[in-house]
Amino acid sequence: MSAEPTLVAGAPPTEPPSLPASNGAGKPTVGLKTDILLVDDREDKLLALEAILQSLDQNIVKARSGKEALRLLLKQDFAVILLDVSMPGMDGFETASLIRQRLNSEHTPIIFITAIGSTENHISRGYSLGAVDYMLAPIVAEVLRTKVSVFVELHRKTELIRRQSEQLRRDIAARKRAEDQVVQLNHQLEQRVAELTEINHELETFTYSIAHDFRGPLRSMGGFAQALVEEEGDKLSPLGLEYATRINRSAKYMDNLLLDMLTYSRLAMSELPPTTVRLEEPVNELLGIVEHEIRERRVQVEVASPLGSVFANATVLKQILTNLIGNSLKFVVPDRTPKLRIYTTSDDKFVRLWVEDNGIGIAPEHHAKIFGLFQRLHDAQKYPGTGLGLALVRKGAERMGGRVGVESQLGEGSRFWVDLPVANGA
Amino acid sequence: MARKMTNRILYVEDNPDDVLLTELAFRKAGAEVELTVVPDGDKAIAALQTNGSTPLPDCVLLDIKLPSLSGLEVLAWIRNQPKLKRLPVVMLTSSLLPDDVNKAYDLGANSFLAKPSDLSSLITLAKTIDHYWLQTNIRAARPA
Repeated sequence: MSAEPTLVAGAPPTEPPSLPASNGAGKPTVGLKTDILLVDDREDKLLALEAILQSLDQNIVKARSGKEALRLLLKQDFAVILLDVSMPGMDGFETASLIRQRLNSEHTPIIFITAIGSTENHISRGYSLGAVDYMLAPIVAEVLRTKVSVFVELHRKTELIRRQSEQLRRDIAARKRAEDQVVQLNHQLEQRVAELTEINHELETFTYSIAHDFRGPLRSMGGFAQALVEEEGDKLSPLGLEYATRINRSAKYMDNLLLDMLTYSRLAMSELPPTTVRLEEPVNELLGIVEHEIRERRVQVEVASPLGSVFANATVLKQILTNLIGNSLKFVVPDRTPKLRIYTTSDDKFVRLWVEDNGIGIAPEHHAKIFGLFQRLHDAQKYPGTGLGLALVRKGAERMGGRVGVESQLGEGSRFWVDLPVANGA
Repeated sequence: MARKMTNRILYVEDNPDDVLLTELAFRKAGAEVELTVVPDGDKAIAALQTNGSTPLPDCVLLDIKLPSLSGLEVLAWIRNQPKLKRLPVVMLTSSLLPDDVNKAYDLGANSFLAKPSDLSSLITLAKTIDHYWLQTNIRAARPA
């Protein structure tokens, strides 16, 4: 007896729609079982057919009448129907014509089985009703198997293609949705960037306006305080003179602050056209400006020439050097001879300009924040400054496609570096 | 020194504090300068349309941010007047915007000076203006 359950109605194939490898020679490919419907009023003939087809390893469903066959066809789809012509009640022809009338079975292959000696008329009627083949009993097992396996294979392939095209349709829909989403996200991103750029520009303009407009009244405060000291000083008490001097000093400090803010916002806003700059030029120029201070404090200065050439904006480069050299001269340790060493290291893309001192140094936990805006580590009494110097250095370096950093230990001096694009052919 | 004539400057500035401090600076600089101060662009143009009744200034000190016409508009107007196109115009302003600087030179400014923030620097600047623009610089003849 067959291990397969017979009369399996409506068991849809559940295997994934992978294309099975064909193992040739009439045997259907594995992976996807199809249903074969046998229709005969005689149980012995049904059993005989089932036995012949068992080796095809498909689901075999048996019907004992045309009515039962039609009922089964309502519930499921078959790869092929083997239909006995002579049955009591509804015969094979009638059954076939009813099968053909139904939309979902109008193309199901039907093989008529009839006894030898049937008339020609019998056969042609069968074909006219939509039979795809005709088999005469007694049946040659091998021939029947071969014929059935062709339809089984056809059905399996059709089903596979249907599933694959369905999958493809889903894939395409999913991809289309994903693409639409990407387009939409891209659009949102572009909008965000435009908004942020606009806001950023507004902020920079705002900073500039504030810094600029605040300088006017400050100029008056400082100027008149100084005029008070110089022009009317003889009428003031020593305390009055001191007050006026303090007003002037504060005005000056605030003006420096605003100037740095202006420089910073200009750095952020302006076009900064780069040229090839030989580093010795700005370095020597700026050391010249602080020459008096260097001599007064007996600073040991060393410039390790040649420093090389960079592709940078000369003005911004000078601002960077002014701040770094200025810091080296400012944050000195009392009773220690200040040393300032300027040198470069480089690779094929960047020149790293080092400004090294033996000053008070910076604790590692502060290394990240000192390049931020308004960051001060010391009180203004001891080390005056606006807290903007290193922010200017960083902004300047970034605008020129470079980076900045520091290596330092508290009490042991600092080494600041600026990476700038190496000049072509330098 | 053969320098007897007092030089005349037309100073276009709307901020009375700046006017007062600049006047003080020129005085302390020891410059023999006659400063005529006008507070806006329209009055600057009016002061320069003299038809020969009063002499033209030797130099114009021009602020940029002004009520009514801006300093740059006054400058453009000056350079469009055949009789004024050789007149030295020195921008004296607190604007450091590269745009303003470039525009001023494009329009024919002779110099662009930033207003100093303290009196000492302002005095130095007054000395410099007097020395350079009024004494050293050789002025062109007025176009006919």
